[in-house]
Amino acid sequence: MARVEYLNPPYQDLDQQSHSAELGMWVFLATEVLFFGVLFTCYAMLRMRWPAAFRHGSEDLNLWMGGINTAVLLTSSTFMALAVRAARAGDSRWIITHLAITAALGMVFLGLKATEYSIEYREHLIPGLNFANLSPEDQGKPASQQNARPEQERLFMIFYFVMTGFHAVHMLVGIGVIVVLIILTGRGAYGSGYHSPVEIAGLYWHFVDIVWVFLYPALYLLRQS
Amino acid sequence: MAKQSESARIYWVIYFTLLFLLGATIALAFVDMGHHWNTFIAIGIGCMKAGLILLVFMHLHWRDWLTWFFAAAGFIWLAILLTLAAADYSTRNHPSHSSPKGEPTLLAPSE
Repeated sequence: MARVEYLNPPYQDLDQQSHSAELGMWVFLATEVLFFGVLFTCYAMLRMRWPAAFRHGSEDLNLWMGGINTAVLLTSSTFMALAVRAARAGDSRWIITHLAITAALGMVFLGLKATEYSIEYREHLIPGLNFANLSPEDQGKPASQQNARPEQERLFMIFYFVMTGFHAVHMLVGIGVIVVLIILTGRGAYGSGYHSPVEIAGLYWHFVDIVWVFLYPALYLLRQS
Repeated sequence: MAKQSESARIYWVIYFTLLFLLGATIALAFVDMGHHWNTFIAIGIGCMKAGLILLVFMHLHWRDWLTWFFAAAGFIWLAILLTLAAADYSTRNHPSHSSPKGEPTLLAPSE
């Protein structure tokens, strides 16, 4: 009976409905590719225009915190994939466990990101708020030992905050979706017969992971010529 | 549509491959390979990671051509955007800073 309850017009059966839902999510993700793609394109053009300033900007970011966050996101994606697998098997206890781990790792990511932002605030790296051409440590040093920031490092930091900020908003949305899925799974909404929402939420979560997979090298790792 | 195995093993294999690629890309960030090789290799490793996530975590490996078509759509438009933008920027201002036309005027060049 449960299979029939979830069937909506105009679909003939649940497989057809799930397939359509999946294609719909891919269409949404195509718009997301272009949303982040425009930011990446502008970033690449400006980086080609002012390579030294952007390199200096990358060096001012915390490579290791970004790396740990990448590992956290990859781990969360793995648990999301396991949650979808549990949904196919109709095992609601494991759906909830894996979704909860995924959401918790998402929170860890956001916590580390917030810590990074606070470090960047102390380093006077936030344009419009406190960006300075010298880091606080360099201000007391004689001019010959100062590592002054190029003027266009502001542009780099603007792109850094806009791109990672939009990514963090996507993470928040994803965590919200997962919490709703956990509640609905607890009420017995999803099982082996019907689990389309878990599948397409998984697609969204993995996509947000892919965005970070490109953000991390583009912003943090390009430190050489 | 190929039938997907229900074993969890493939997800863990992909997970450790992704962690290995992450370690490789961090290690290579400390090596100066010159001639923009650092950029190409970092983007290449990023594409490999994204490919593994798309194929296995997002199940594209087991999907039919229609799903591939929908999944590719955004990336095809992005490729057009990148190609045309790169064609514009790479053919402007030869030699650099010599032309008053097409130079960004918002910020004065300092390098």
